[in-house]
Amino acid sequence: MPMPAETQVAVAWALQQDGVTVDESSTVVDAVRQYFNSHSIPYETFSYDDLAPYL
Amino acid sequence: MVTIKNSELRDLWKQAADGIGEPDDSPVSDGSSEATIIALLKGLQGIIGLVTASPTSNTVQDRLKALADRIGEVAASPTANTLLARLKTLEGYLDGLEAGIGAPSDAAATGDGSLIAIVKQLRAILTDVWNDTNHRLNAALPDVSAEFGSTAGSKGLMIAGSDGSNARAIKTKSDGTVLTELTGRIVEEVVVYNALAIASTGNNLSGIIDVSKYRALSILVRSSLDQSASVRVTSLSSGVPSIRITKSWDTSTAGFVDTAVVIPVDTERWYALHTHPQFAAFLSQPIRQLQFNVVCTVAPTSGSFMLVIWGVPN
Repeated sequence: MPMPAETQVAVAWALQQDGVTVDESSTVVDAVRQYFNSHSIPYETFSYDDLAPYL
Repeated sequence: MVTIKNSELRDLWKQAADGIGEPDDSPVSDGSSEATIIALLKGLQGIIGLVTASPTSNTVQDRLKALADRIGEVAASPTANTLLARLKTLEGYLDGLEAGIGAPSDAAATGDGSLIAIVKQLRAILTDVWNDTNHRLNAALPDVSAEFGSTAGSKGLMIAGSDGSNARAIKTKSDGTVLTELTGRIVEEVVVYNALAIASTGNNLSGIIDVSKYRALSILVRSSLDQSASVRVTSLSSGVPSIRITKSWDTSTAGFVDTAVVIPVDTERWYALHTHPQFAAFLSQPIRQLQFNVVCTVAPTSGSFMLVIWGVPN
């Protein structure tokens, strides 16, 4: 399943959160996931590599 | 006494006069044609040509003059581009070459000198250092000529540092092994799961990682998932036969069990998976390739999972 359409917005939001840095991939992924959850955006298992095109 | 009649004498004179010819006879230069002496001389004169500054073209004189012009005159400075001028230039080169080579009587020279003088000096040097009895140079260094196992001398071959100075001798152990010192080691990192946000209870197989080039492995995991995750490792070989090892011996149950470890819910800590007894026993065996699978029995709703391998190359 492709990444949600809102991924670009989610990544932009994630990178503005405290403690989120691309040097620690898990902080970015966890924050993006948090964005998906808070906006009720359905998603399947993904990893930092799936976010690379949006960074 | 021979008597010749007047009529006979007149005939002889006429034959001679006919052979000589008349002064106005046309020149004959064709040898195959019959002609008078005067005609032939005129033809011959035409072929040879007159000796003048500008002989008639295509006469022998004309060709000789052209040849003389090309050879040049014998002089201190022959006309340029004549054969003599070229020979004189060549002569100058030969003189220089002769001087460079030198004479057999030249004395050996340590500085500038003829080729023979320098070769003589080299011969003298080689004669001084060559030991004809032992077929080696007399200038052998003391350490090089020392017997094996003997006490090292105070002199030896030196190797300079990369800066071209600070030359040092090579040290060895008593058995001859060259002393070496490791100043560090290379540790390669392979990220197997790069922050995997698991959102289901299905399998999450990794790619196949070739670890045959590592002599030591560390397997590190970190989970910020809100559910525990089971990590399973498979040792495999894609050769013939294809082998997949998923079970290892468990001393607590005295039986083979899946090589799997449950990673609890945690947000910060990294776990050294290779230190777990089950993994440690598994990883202590020869391994060609590894594949991981991480499974959650309850689908996590937040967090992610990391798995990294540190390998020390062989």
